[in-house]
Amino acid sequence: MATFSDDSDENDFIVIGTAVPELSDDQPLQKPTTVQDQTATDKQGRRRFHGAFTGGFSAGYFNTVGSKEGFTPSTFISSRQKKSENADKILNTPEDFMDEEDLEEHGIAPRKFATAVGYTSEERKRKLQDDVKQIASASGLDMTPALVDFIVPEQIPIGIQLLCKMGWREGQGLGPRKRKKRKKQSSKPTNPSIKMYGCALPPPSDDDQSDSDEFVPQNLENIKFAPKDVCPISLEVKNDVHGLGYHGIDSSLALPRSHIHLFPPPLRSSGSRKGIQGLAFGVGVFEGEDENIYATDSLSNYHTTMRLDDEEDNTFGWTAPRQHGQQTLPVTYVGKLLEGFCLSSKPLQPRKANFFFLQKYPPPTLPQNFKPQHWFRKKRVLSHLPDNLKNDDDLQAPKKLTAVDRGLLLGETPIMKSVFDLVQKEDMNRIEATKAAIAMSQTLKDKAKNELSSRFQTVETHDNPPAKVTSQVEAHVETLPSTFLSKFKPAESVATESEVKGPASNVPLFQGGLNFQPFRKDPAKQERYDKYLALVKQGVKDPYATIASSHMTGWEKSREKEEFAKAAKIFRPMSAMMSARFVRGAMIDDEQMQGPSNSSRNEVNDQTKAAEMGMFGQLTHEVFEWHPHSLLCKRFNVPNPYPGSDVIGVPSIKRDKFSVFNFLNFNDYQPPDAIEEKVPEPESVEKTLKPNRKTTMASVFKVLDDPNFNAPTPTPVTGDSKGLTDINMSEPENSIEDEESKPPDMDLFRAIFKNSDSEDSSDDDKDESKKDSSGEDERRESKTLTEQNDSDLEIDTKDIQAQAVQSVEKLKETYTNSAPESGSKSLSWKRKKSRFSDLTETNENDKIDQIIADVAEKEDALSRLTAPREILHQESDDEYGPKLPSFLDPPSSRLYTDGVESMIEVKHSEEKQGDKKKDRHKHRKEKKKKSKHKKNKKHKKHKKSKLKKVKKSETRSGDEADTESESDDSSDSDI
Amino acid sequence: MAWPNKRTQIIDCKQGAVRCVKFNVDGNYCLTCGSDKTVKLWNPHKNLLLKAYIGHGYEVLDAHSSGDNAHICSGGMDKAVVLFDVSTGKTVRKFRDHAGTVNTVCFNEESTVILSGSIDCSVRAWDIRSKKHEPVQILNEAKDSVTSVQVSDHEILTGSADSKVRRYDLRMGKMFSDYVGKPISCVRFTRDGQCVLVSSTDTTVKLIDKDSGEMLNQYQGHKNVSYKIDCCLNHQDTQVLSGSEDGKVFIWDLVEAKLVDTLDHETSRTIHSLSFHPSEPLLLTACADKVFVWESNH
Repeated sequence: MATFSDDSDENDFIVIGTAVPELSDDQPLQKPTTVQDQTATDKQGRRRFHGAFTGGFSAGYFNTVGSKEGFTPSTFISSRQKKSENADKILNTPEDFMDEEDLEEHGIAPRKFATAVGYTSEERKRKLQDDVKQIASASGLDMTPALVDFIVPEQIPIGIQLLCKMGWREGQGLGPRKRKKRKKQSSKPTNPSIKMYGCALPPPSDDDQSDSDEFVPQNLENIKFAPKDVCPISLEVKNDVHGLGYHGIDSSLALPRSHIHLFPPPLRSSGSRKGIQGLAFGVGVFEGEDENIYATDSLSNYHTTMRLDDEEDNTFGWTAPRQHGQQTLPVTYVGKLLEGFCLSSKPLQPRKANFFFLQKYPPPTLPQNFKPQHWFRKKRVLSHLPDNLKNDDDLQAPKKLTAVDRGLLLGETPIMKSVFDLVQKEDMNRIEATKAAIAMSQTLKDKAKNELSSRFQTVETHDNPPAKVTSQVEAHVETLPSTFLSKFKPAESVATESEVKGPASNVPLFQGGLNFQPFRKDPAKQERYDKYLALVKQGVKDPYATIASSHMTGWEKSREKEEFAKAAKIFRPMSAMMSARFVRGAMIDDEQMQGPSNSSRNEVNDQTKAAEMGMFGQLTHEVFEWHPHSLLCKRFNVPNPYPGSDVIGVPSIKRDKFSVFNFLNFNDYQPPDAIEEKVPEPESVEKTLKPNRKTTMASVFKVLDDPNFNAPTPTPVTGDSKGLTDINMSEPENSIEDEESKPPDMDLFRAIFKNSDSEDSSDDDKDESKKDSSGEDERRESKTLTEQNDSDLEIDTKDIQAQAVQSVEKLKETYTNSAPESGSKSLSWKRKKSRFSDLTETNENDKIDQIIADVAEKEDALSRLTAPREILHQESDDEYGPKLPSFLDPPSSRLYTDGVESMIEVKHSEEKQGDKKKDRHKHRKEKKKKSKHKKNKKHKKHKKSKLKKVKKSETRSGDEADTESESDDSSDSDI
Repeated sequence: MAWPNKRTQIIDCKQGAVRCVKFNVDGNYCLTCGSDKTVKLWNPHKNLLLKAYIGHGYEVLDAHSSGDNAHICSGGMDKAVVLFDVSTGKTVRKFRDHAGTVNTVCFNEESTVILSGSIDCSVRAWDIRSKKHEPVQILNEAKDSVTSVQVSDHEILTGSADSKVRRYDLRMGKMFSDYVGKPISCVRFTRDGQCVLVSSTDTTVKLIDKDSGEMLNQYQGHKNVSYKIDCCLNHQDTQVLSGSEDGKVFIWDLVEAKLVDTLDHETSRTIHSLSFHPSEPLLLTACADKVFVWESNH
């Protein structure tokens, strides 16, 4: 076909399909229509598929009413003469309001061929009934069916008519007539042993042939009967390997009823297994309940033997069931007969294919002592269960497992309902012992305290500040043991109990060591831990010191000690945790509540009394020193009342320890032994000359990361410098904070990347500004911008680069907030390096313009990524007094003016709002514009093109675009 | 002497329960916080809804508009403090650090810092100038839920359920605490800034001298036992107003502590929030899902 090219031959072509449009060179290639552009339309070109896939119908003209011209109401004609004409046109059926689409396959009233209503048998019956009713009601007669048949004319289908002519009657089965055999009469006579009460059953009537099938009178033996109208039971031999009752999907059932099969479904060849076979799986919504999948499953729900439930005797099929005693079973038959079944006399004759199958794979020969029943070996089943359950012989009996049982199964420690459940007998005893020990130590301590206070009066004063530091930390550790103990004490002894403090009270008494073994994997360690706990309970001062094995290094020891302390803290039973949170009113706090809160108890009482009496004033008024954050002061335009102080908040008040929210963070944790040290014990104070434990590292790698890391050096502790150790304890945190605020070592940078003298100065500048907020940096830049010559191109680019570096860092900081500071530092360091190397590479060349463009682009991207510019506009720390007008602060002023604008817009309708604001606003705007222009001038040389763009946008779209250009400008001004 | 005694408008806020109603700085507009997670801006004089601010994840409990009317801050049960832009209605910032419901929010005078008091016993100061997500400072001296916060030019006044009024003086670097005896539902500075009006759940409103902590006056007669009910002063500091749990607003004379008037809302529900116009005798009260506007007919 392709060979034909002449015009004359074209007429001979047979064209199939639509021709591809010819491509012309000058026209651009048409884009292929995308999927979303492809719409299904109906015949009128309107869009089909409204809403759901087939759903909806195209209502009127593009989902409106009526046509393109609109809704046209039907005309009403009132003349009587034309009434008959109009009668035909009256629209009164729903179909009259449908168009052909609605009647189509996908419409709302699809039409298809079906048996006419009057011809279905059900319909016929129903119709007959209706007629009968009608007649009966009209005549008032009691209509018997026979009478009805006379009266009601019946439309009998032709098929039935034909059958009737062939001698068939309704209710009979189809087929030739048969002669019935006489049934056995033996079963018929009533058993004399059965007594009958009440009315005797009527004897079976002779003429009732159709009903009583079994009984055939003797005199009618030679009469032929029509077969019963029943479905013949198919007695097919089951010769497939499917389960009993299995049948494939019946296509006649699966498909809609109305569908008429002109041709029987093709027989499936046995070889092909493709296509749908078998019953559909799953249970529908309406098909009854599904199994409760959330039910607790237990072994007892399963049978461990294959036997039937109702079979109580242990016959197991060897002897035939009693109820089937009449049937003689062949000796070869093994098993039980199902109820209602009997053995067939004929052996099963498999088909050829199956026969072949059986021949090829004959059934296994049964061993002689085979019992057709499977017993699970008990050992194997129960081997994984705990011992206490193995004893249970009666697994069959459904046993309800409680939560405790399940917990036990899973190897959990049982959860206690109360504290007393928790306590085992021996532990009870131990507690008693501990209490005694505590009381002992208390008396000792009191003595010691007196001594100490007399000897080292300075210690007390030194003690205060560190006590506050630690007391915060231990707040929740503190309360719990004493509360716990209080439960074991009689009510009268509360007063004495309140004085119970001591080393033991610093650590949880119930370390959960009860059953919990955090170091189970390492038995030696676990053993040490247990010992540790025991020592802690006894209130030994440095519990770990005695346990530590000799072959461990110092680092390992300290690490393990920390671990133990943490474990002891964390793995406390729930009840103890809760008791720590809910404090009794009667409980008096520990001595660690120093300062005002120590005396606060009395004060609170006084205060409540005073408040009750209405004596407000001195008694209820308290004044504390409070250190506001410097930034907060700045924001409030107030000079920092404590310049240079590191403390923020109220230094003399310890944090509320009863608040649940204080327990949310466990970060501020100190091991209990650190706290213990604070307890004044004269003998220990004098002898402790130990290395500062806190400076030892939790990780070896910290040494590598931390440049300022000090190797753990023993700090000399004199007798009265106990406070010093505490200060040291809090030192590492401070030092970390210092590092955070400290800028990276810039000498290094300079050594590596120092390029020229002119750059050096700006470098320095930048380094300093790094420390401060970037806002200051920017201000400085804007200053330098005004001062510098336009020709000072190099420095400008430098600034740009620096900006880029900074913003990159900022971005990174925001995204790697959680990263350890040392890590991020090194990262940023790297980043800086690459940036600077960039600079050194290209600085000499005349590619500067390109860099500018490059960086500007990056800047834009960054500004989009990071945030609005406001962050960069942090003021310097040392600026107080009335604030500068906000329009000097371009981006933030933008926000403000926007806001005012908006409010004015909102208020426009009302004249109440004074014109002042507007004026001010205008004024601001003008000023802003001025400053903007100034800035623009500066940049003209570098980026004329960009400025042009900006200006264009300004001119193009007045006020609206103004903000845009402003934002553009702000990014410009940064540069 | 004129006080608002005539109900002129009833605004059906259509935002569930109105948790708070508050005038803006100049008193031309008001904000309502609803239990349907929205903050709405109204012109209460014309019964006109101007905008609804969506951004909270749960009931909004308090809102405050900034001094330049450009922003609205709000706090709610989603533990967040949200900063809205008034004109666009968009969420500018969302501060999430509170561990519990935010009861009260407040701008400082310059509207550069938001102070939010929460059920987590803390007041957090958020710097809206910086991009930081952490608060500038946490005032966690309270031992119970902070129910009310107000800011003057250099002071932060907080009232908490631990029965203490705490005043943080930034200029002096001191914190003053006054024990009141019962959980505090509302604290307000007087307009001269010398006294503090404290309403507590023992059905009293107290006027306390700021510096000495002495009680100058006590106002009683209303009912305030279980709800967080607002109190306020009128525009001239001559009267004290407080909501009540019996559907009334009580107005006392400040000096004589005599009951001047009660505004009956014809309901038995609690009048829990009220806001006085900054310069006119005009009162907004919130009850259930409605806001009532009261004006003087003198």
